[in-house]
Amino acid sequence: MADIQNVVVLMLENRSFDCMLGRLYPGDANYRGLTLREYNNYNSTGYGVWNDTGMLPSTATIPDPDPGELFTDMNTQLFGSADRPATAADMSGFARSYATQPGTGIYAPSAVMHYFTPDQVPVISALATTFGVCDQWHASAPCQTWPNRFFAHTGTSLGCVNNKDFSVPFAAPSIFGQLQAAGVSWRVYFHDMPQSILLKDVWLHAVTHYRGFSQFLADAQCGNLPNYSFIEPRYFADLFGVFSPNDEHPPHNVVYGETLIATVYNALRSSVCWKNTLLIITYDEHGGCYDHVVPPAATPPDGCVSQPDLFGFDTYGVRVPTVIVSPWIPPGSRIRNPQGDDGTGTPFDHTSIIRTVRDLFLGGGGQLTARDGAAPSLVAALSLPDATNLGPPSLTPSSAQATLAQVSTLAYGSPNGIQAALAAASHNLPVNAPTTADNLPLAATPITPANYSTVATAAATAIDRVKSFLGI
Amino acid sequence: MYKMLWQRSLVLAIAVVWATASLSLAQAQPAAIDPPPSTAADGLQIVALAESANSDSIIGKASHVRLNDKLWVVLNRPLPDAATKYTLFLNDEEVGGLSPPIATTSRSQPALLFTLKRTSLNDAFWRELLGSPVDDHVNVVVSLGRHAGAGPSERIAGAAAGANFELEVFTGLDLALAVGVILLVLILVWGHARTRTTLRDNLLPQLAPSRQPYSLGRSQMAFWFTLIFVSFVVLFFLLQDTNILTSQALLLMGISGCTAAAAVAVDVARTSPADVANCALQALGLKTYEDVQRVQQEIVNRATALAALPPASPQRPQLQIEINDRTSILRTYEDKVRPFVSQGWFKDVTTDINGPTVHRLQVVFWTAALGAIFLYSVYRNLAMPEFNGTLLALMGISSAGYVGFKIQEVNN
Repeated sequence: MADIQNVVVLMLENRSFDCMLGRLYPGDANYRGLTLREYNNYNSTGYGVWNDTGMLPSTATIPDPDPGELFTDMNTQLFGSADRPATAADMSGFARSYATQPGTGIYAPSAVMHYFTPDQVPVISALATTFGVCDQWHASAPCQTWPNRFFAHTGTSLGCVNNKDFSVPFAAPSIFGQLQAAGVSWRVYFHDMPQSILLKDVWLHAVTHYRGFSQFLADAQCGNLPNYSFIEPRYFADLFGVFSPNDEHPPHNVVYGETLIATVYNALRSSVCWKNTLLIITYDEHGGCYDHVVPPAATPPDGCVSQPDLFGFDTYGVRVPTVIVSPWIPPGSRIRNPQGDDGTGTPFDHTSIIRTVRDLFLGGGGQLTARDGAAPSLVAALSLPDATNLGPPSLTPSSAQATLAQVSTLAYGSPNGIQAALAAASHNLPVNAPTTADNLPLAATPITPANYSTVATAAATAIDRVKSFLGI
Repeated sequence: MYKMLWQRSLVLAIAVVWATASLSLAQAQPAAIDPPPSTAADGLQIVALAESANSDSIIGKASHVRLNDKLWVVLNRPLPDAATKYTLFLNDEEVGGLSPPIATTSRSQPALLFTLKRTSLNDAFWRELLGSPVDDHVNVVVSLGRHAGAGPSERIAGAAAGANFELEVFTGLDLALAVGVILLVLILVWGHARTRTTLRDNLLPQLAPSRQPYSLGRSQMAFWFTLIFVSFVVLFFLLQDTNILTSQALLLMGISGCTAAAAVAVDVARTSPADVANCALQALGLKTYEDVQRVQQEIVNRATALAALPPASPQRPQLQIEINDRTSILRTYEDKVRPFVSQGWFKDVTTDINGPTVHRLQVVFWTAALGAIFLYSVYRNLAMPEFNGTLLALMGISSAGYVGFKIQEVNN
């Protein structure tokens, strides 16, 4: 078994597998990518998958505006109908969902059918071919960001399908709590407001376990990484630092996400921890971008059913790009569940992160829900007898830097789903993190929707309240 | 580190001031004059000194005579020679460059009338006599010189009481007016600087005027303006002369003005950290300091409304969120404007956003050094100094260096 001492997870935002990696191995029958014959119909017009050549900002931000990602939007994307009919999903409604968004922008249906070629996203593509790519990794549920991120931490969303449905703190036990109880080190590295700070499980330990992203680079350099690291990207435009978001959430420029991936990889690759490291790069959900693989049935995590949609979390969400990086992985791996390599087995989803961490650090114990109990582990993919696939010494991302004008445009824009929800939820954070169990709230409070006219005002609230909570 | 740097710079500046002042003084010392001979052979003597005359006699004491006034030298008998043969000696030094005296033989008291005019020919003399004033009058012993042929001039003195007078350097009214004008200028330029933007950068309109950082360019310009204006006022009251501005003084004002203008141009032309902060604060709805005050008031208003609501009121959560949002905006504001808030005049003018900078220290200390020389020269010589070209070039290079490095600090 591979000697893995450090698991690092980088979870980006809202891109489908086909959007980012659909053309990684063109024509390879052993890779579930795009054939370029995929299309959606809308208003009697066929919209095929397509690529915009070059990588100007106008290309790197497709689709713009942001596609719909509410539960009803995803029903339309998967089934062609918002009410989730009994018929099997056929991935036919992405163009329709996009074209019928209520926003004021121009929702050209073809935008969500766009994919990037490997030369346009060279960092994630290089890592995928050098190490391993999962072409069978689904979002945990056909839901918005928060349900899927909570699945990654807790194995459930407690019946919530949209960001706005949640109460804070999120009460389900998390992998962080399991590691804490077992004395296994963990840390969350973040840029602005970490979404995972809404977990009740972390509140008692947040002050000592949440660190800015620069600390990740320092910890990697010093060989001081914890056993489990979870990295959250920058969700908000930062006008003060002239930083564009690097979460790749449409229409955020994917180039900055590529830079973040390269920065994380380079830090790990040059670390003394490298030969004992497993890096998982994934995305929370597809965000309305087209993918051609129908999500299969899934193990319901805990019997929770969403209201009023009555969704039982018995199917996965759309595939998301996931790249597994470690010197223990054979070059060019296509990583699937070994118990169903032909696609019939249980696919990977975000709860596979929990399962893998449990297998590596908790001896397989510490199951959180039935979903992570059923999830395949990545341990089997670490199949080299020794840590010999060292990979390139470093990756060079694009040198493009956001301009003040570009960041201003984003900062003055309306908040997207996760930005608005994070700002609203930040009001549920106590002014100071609780220090004893007696200080923890007995019940969670529903988040109160707040009306933020700009990303900048939402960011100010979210970041300020997190800084207060963490005492930084 | 910072403290050590500026302490060393201060010591260096003091040394430079001392050395340059010494050099300047050495150049300004008047040439020594030989001691006068004794009383005239024909018995001509000075019997009195006066400040005015009527149609018949010389009247008034000479104690109100000052530069540019007339001095009557009353003699014991009519002049045996033409008046043009006589020259005035004050404190045993001949006052060259005066207009020839006028003899007043028609009155009952023979006298010679001298006009105490300061000219380029006697500038060194007056400088020596009136410079470094410590009192409103200076004691002067008057004697006359009489030229006879090509030989040395014969001296005509008088009784000690009759040939002495107190030359007036300035009057109490002069002093009061000069101090008043100087105070007015100091208050307008430097006094108001504490609460207004006279000497401050206005890079972040969201900051209260009293929190804006002091500007090196504006401070330098104000420094030279104040110094030259104050010197002008002092010299005007002392010398009753408006023709006292030197080309070097104007050049110094020009250098400081150009420096300030170039600094502003650099700030305007490039995207500075302050521009970025300004842009970001505007995105938070804070375009001016009035917006900051508005948000502060909104918090107060909502807190008052919240306090008046019953605990179970459904409006409470929304009000609390609105208070939290505004509080977060103000905390973000405070956090982000901190690098741009004044840390005090000296620190502001010697540091940029990254800390102390040599190019700023250089400008501060060279300006202080030249300013000290300037002030000393005005006091010592009663004239604005004539800096040599090297010193002015140094000031120009120093200011140009500041502007050049400012471009880089803006880019940072």
